[in-house]
Amino acid sequence: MPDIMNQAMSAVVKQRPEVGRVLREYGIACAGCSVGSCALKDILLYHDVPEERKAEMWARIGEAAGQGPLAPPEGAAPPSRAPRGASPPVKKLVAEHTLIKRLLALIPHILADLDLDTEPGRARVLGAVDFIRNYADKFHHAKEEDILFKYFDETQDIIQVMCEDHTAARAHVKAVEQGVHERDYAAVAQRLEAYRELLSGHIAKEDDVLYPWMDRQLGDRRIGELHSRFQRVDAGEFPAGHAQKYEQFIERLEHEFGCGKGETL
Amino acid sequence: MSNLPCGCPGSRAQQFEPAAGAADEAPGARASQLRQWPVQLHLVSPAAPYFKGADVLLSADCVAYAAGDFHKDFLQGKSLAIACPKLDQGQDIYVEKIKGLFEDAEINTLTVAIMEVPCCMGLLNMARAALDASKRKAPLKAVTVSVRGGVLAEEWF
Repeated sequence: MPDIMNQAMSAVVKQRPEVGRVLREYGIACAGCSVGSCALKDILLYHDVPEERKAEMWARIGEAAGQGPLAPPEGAAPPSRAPRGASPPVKKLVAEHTLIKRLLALIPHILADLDLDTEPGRARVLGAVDFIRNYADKFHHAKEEDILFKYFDETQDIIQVMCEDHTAARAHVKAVEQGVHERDYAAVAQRLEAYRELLSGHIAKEDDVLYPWMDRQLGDRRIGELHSRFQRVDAGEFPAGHAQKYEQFIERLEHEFGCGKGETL
Repeated sequence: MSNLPCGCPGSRAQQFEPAAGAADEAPGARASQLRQWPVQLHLVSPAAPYFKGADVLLSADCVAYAAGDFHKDFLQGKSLAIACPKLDQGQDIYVEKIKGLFEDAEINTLTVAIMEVPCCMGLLNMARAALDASKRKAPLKAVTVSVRGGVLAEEWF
């Protein structure tokens, strides 16, 4: 197998931007990934490209990479069975993303009206910090890191990329909080915007690539287990009304800024 | 059999050749994946030990005859109940029994395998009604099988 197949996506796209353009034609947006550490050969593992288009896609990638038509790596991905919607535990994670995306859509409004000199102004930003920490991170990311990812080899690039995003997001939020206490407008604006940008891409990667890839491999037994474990975590580790409290927080902000209810990026 | 005046696709006579490769099957017996008795939905009890925490397959009767590898592709690793939503009597009992699987047997998942003919959708509707009525929720998956034995669609609810 040519070396390019084992190179990280970021390196491949840097050398051969045309490869990224070919991938996008097949619904694979990895060329724009903020981390880009997945090997090119693994992309067929992670994306559910229709069986009848795989050979054509690999031939075009090979040509774009200047190596002539390539054959798909053997055993790279099992043939897809009949179409299948997301499983209930994955639907739950996607639904949680929807609320997080509503916060992301509110960030430009928060920044346009940023006020760190009054208590209500600071409280608004700290409310967003609380949402990110206790809903987006503890309530949602914890289900991924503590439960879902444990069913897979966590050393795989695709999971490492997601965990790196989580870590980067936590650093942004910590800096936002510090900026609020120091009345540092520039730091708050820069870090909150960076969080918005990071999470927007992160959620797209999970909804479009990671979750469908995981769903295809989990099998009924583990899907049932995940469903039960998510329910136990939500009911057992968080106070009653935890998720509703944060839904109400988002609704209140949307009302304040006159945004359409449920608007996402 | 001639077509019924109502044009019911479930009863319309069709004849087709065996699927490609059907005549070239390797000799030898495939082991049964069945791990319980009885299997008919009227006869099974949600309290039976083989349903406790199980992945359960609720199959329309015809699926086992249409799918070439029913035991390997559908039954393996699952407890079973079978029913016909078109011909069976007492289907209100079916809904209660399926609800009992969710609530009392605390099943892990329920897979409902149905044929593509419209009348078979009744079995999925019963399962969904039972899940809606159940206090305890578990993943429910529908698998639709063609009269030629292929899987046409899988969908989680």
